[in-house]
Amino acid sequence: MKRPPLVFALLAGLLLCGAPPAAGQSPKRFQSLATVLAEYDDNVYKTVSDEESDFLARLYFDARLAYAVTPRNRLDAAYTLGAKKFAEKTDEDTLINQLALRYSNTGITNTYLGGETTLKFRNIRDEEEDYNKLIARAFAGRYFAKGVSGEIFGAYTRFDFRTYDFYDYWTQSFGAEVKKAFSHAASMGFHYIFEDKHFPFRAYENLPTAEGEVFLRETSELRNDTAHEVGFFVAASSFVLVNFGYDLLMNDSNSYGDVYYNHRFRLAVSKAITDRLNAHLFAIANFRDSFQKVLIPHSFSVEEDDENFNQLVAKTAYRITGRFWLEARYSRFWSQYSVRDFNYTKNTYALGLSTSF
Amino acid sequence: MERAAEAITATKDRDAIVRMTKYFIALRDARETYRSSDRLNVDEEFLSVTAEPDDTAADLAAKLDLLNNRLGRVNALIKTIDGQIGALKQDLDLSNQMRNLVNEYNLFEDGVVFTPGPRSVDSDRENDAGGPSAGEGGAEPLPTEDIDRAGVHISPIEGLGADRGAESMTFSIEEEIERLKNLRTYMEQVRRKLADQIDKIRRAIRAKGGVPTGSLAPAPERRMEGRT
Repeated sequence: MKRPPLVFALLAGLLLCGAPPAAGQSPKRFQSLATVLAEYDDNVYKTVSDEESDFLARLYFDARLAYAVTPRNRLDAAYTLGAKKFAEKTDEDTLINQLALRYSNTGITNTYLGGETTLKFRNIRDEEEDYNKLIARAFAGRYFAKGVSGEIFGAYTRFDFRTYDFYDYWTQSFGAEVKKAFSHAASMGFHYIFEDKHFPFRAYENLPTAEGEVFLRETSELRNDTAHEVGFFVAASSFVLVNFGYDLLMNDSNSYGDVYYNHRFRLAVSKAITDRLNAHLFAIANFRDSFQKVLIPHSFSVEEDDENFNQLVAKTAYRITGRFWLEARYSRFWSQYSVRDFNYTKNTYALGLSTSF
Repeated sequence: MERAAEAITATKDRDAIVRMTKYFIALRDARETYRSSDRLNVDEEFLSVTAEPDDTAADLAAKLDLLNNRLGRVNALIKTIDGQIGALKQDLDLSNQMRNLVNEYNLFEDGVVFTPGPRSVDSDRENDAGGPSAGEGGAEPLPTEDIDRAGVHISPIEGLGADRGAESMTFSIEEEIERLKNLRTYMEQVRRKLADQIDKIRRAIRAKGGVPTGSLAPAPERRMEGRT
């Protein structure tokens, strides 16, 4: 298994150091963030029973460069590194490298356009869940009067799962988003995305038996999904920073068993308790509602493949000195599938340091 | 407002004190509004008070008093802007911390399960059904182990889009900070101009043998010290 961190580190270094010197005002802005956590995970393998726990060290590093190539052209580059090192369950040791580049132009008054690409490489020591992901995106947006802005975009995504083809896909998507900022302390937005998703394996069709049982057969067509997502968010800053969003994903497929709606709720709340102490709460709830009954493996039952996946993260950060923060975190992940075999609950408790410079 | 305050201290009637206190609060709120950036009308007239050759000592003293008053208002506004920028930077810090937290969990995707195992018919059921033959619009029915649960990789956080809400919030705050910084730069220019006019009028008063008054207007150089 090849691990590409050095390539990315060198590339990021070149980006950060190789930019031409500023003329007059500095056209470069550099920000970075590093977090190191000692963590306890009570269900490393996300199993429904016989959970195995372990201690681990988690590292997160993010470096961002904003570079004004000309007054109306801007290049943004970001390199992100994530790593997990387990005390005993070393097969779950993880290394993630991600590089993002974005170029934008504001040559037309109140208008911006450009392109961006993100490359992500995830490597896990047991190689069971390694993947690469590429996202390329073009966008154009405009600021209108009274705090209204709009953006249209098109994107190409390629997901390559290392060990099985069954998770691979490529997509083309198009979307539009409208935002309205009522003030600096309140904004909201709506979006719509259409996605055409292609898989490198054949679709299945159902040949129901006289008894009404599910019987799947592979067709001659490759699986192809089309999805429509609509959503909105509201954000406000009054006493606390609040951000709430809802997305409805409507997925249609030529493959039996993969037609579903997914409802996703997001809530982010932040509060500065004192000048030195901040608290954050971040919660996600997903409800997948399948419309076709499938045979669930190992259960010998025909059910809708519904899923309720939830995630909750609570974090407090205490500023030790200028740029250094002491962090305490609690995370909980839990899912409820139609079939109990896939359910799991995972709790993590972490303590560590973060710094930005 | 000052007269209302004097009246409150002078009266002994409890009801009147309550009534006048409400009036005082209303006046204070109105004044705060008046002092905000939107209501301070820095127009041509605001900066056009200068010493004229035919001004008497009294005229000059009145002009100095007016300019001192305006300088005080501008100073108060700049102080308010500094406070607002400080509060917004705290909001921005909070917002950035949340964005980093979301980005971090997006990167690790700790909760995503790539479900192992097949999701299809078992071999007995397949045999019972007899199985469709090849050539009926598709291939042979697949053995159980060849059919996996496919294409379920939907990041629970990302979905089809990014964390657009958090981005939007941060953007709004950054925009507001930028707006306030621009306003502060402009008000600094106004302050320098007012201080320059005050200096000229003081010199004119001295030239007429008078003594300039008005401690509200310190020398402009000293006033600029310590400002960031």
